[in-house]
Formats: sequence, structure tokens, C-alpha cells
Amino acid sequence: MQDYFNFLWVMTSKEIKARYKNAFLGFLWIFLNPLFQMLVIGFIFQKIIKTPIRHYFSFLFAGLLAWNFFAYSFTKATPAFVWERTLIKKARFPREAIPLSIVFANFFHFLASFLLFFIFLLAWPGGHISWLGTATIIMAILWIVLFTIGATLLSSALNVKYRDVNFFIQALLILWFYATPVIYSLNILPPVYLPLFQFNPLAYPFALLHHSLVATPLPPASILWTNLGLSFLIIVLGILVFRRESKFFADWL
Amino acid sequence: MNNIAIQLTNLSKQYSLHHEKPTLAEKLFSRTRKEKIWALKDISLTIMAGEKIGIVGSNGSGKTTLLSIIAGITEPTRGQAIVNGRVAALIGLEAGFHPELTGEENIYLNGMLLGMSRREIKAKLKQIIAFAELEKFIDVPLHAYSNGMKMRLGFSIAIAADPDILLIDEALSVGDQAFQKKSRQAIEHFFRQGKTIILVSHYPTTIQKLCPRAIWLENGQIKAIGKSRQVISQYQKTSHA
Repeated sequence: MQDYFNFLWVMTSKEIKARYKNAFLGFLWIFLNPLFQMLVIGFIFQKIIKTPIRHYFSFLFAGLLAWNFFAYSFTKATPAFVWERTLIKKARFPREAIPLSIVFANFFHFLASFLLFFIFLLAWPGGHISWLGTATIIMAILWIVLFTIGATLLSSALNVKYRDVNFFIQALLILWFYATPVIYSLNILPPVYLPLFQFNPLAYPFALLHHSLVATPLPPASILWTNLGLSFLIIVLGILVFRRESKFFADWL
Repeated sequence: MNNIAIQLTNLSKQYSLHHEKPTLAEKLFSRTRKEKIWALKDISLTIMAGEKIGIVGSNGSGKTTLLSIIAGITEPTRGQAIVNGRVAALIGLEAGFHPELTGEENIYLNGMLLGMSRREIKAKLKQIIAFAELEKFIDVPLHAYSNGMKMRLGFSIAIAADPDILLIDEALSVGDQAFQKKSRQAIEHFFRQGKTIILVSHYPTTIQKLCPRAIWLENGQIKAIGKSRQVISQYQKTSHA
């Protein structure tokens, strides 16, 4: 068991190290990337479109960090087995280490920049986040991480057999970004559209994250339960499909 | 030691043959005919611990599939494979390295892929580096390595795993002549150590020299099994007639 976690750790640190080894500014990129995104999107919505959301830059930054974690993990892990085919055909090892190490490496990046952001929020004049708020943030992040793990297990396993899954995921992610409350909050939408968000398992955790950071109102509980159910379904499906398919990955690569 | 190392019971492996890569869209919206081939058909075989056994057979006879199943890289479609002990397959030696990481970082990565623990690798690190003769390059990222250097490193890690069961596919030619000699000696050392060894080779003479017992695979089935001299003379009669 300890060997298993050591192995996962070595795979994860490989991901982390390899990503910034040759990059100019190195580690700083994990923070700079969402910062530039925030400045551009924030400028558009704050100055041009005049969003009614208060503390919009903070609102945006938190959402972008979480979204980037999900999107980077999903994009990179889905085709991972095809890239690592020589590894799969070389030895027997727990196959899930490949997508999990990608998710964990991205989570590490997310956590580093989120902590910086959190400290910045607290240091800001009038900045205050209660213990309950902090606990809610942790819950929201945990939800997003578990969902990401389930989704990447599912997509990476399916992509071994069906190579168009990767193209489908790349197209889906672009639409998914706009279907998730990252740059907007659900309370500014006309209420007729709210039921649609029951089908996006990321809607509630993002709203929860925003709520505990910048006090945007929470969406109705119906979205909570359907999102929670759908997330659970995808996580279970991901684990089951992965367990069934991973035995035969070598046959398809 | 009179234990069973490998026990295969009614082992069969089926592959789906695809002329193009299947797509999910196709799977959902149309019924495509699937061609299936049996790479292995109903193989039953017991290999005792310490036995040295050779496998001969033409291309596509199922040799590599059999090794993959024993190594746990893939699973049989039907039947059962019980393998007792740590297996190392001397295949894909140059695979499993990350180009951006240094030699030492890659030793940990690759060693753990082969089932070694971190502590075990740490203890064997010097030995691995020395055997691969890469002392000067160990802090250099792998993209600076030549193919021969990667093969040497892969070979050193694989043998450092100190497997109970060693699977060798084809004649090994790792690195330059000096290293080839060294790697052959390392393998011969394994032969003397009482390890279980399965050797797949196109060169029947190698098998006859090193393995008392041999199997002849043809179309996924065992065509002959027994003393390697007899099996190989049978094999040579038909294939080189």
C-alpha cells in the first residue's frame, strides 16, 4: 500500500517537474496564466459589459483557477494512454497511476495558486473569510477534484478503444466552459434557465466556491441534489469502466 | 525448491482485428462487423520454479502474446494464468523514460514501474548506474542520451529488479559490443542462479544451448513440448524444409 502511494507520488512529481523544467519563469506560470486570463476577461466584463457581480476580479480569479484545474487535467489525461503506450506495453503497473498523476499534478498547481490568492484575499482591507466559509471552500474544491478524477478515468479509458473520444472531449470543454458559472453567477441569469444547470455537475460546486469567497447567492437546492447525483454517477461509472477496460489496454495500443 | 512458478490453464487470447481504429461514433450508430482472431488457443502449461524454457515459433504464432500475459501486461480472454513471484520482462527496454528528467530521476520512475520500491531502488542505485556505465551522465536529462545509452539504462534497471521470473524476447543486443558481452553475461548469471527463465528466440541454437525444455508454438497452439533438442529438430524440419 505504501509502495502504491510512493509510486503515485513519483509519477505525480514527474508530471510537475517535467512541466516547468525548461520553461522561462518556471513555476511562476502557474500563477501568471490565470492572472492574465482574469485581467482580460475582467476588463471586458467590468468595464465594457458592466457586470452586476461585486468583487468581480476575485470572483473571476477563483473560478478560473478551478476551471483551469479541471480543463487542463481533462485535456491532458484523456489521450494519456495513447501517448504512454510504450509504458503500457512494457510492464504491469496500476494503470490508473497515469491519469491520476496528471490530475494530482494539476491539483498541486491549483492549490499553490489558490493559497496565494486566498492569502491575498485575507490581506485585502476588509477581507474576511469565516471558518465555515473556509470549510465550504474545501468542500467545493473536493467535489471538483473527485468529479475530475471520475471524469478523467472514464474518458481516458474510453479513449484507448475509441480514439474519437479525445476530439469529443476537446470540443465539449469549450462549450462546457460557457455552461459553467465561471465568468457569470447563476443569480444574474433569468430564472427560466436555471433548471438547465441541473445537468451540469460542475454548476453547484462552482457556485459554492463563489458563494464562500465573494458572497454571491447560492442556487436552489434542486441544483445541489441533481448535481451531486450526477457527479456520483460519473465517478462510479468512471471507476467501473476503468476497472473493466484497463486490463486490456495493451491490446488496443 | 519444487514450487510451481507459472501455471497456465486452458489459456486463450482473442484480439479484435481492426483495419482502422474504431470510433465511439461508429460503435453507437452503426453495426460494424468485427473480425476476431485467436492469438492463443487453449494453452495449458506448468513451469516449475527454476526451470529454463525456450519458446520457438514463426512470426504471429503467439509467442509475444504469451509473454505479455505472463508479464501481466494484458489478461487472457479465457482461462487462467497463475504467476508466482516477481516477473521482469526484458522488452521495451528503452521505454518508460521521461526526456526532461535526469538519469537518476528516471531510474526511480522506471524502477517503480517495474515494481521495485523506492527504498529498494535507493539501495541499488549505484549498482544500476555502474552497470549501465553512465556515471558521467546521471545528472543529465534523458533527451541528451543516445539510444544505446537508454537501452543500457533500461537493461540495468530491469536486471536490478532481481526478478524470480525473467522473460526474454528475442536475441538481446543492447549497446555496443562490450556492453552486449556484459549483458549476455548478466543473463547467463541469471541462468546459473536458479531463476525461472522463459526465452523466446528465432535462433533455435541459443535455446538448445541454454534451455533444457522447449515449446513450439504454432497458430496460437502448442505444437510440441519436451526436451529442447527434440522440439527444435521437429521445428526445424518443418520450417526450414
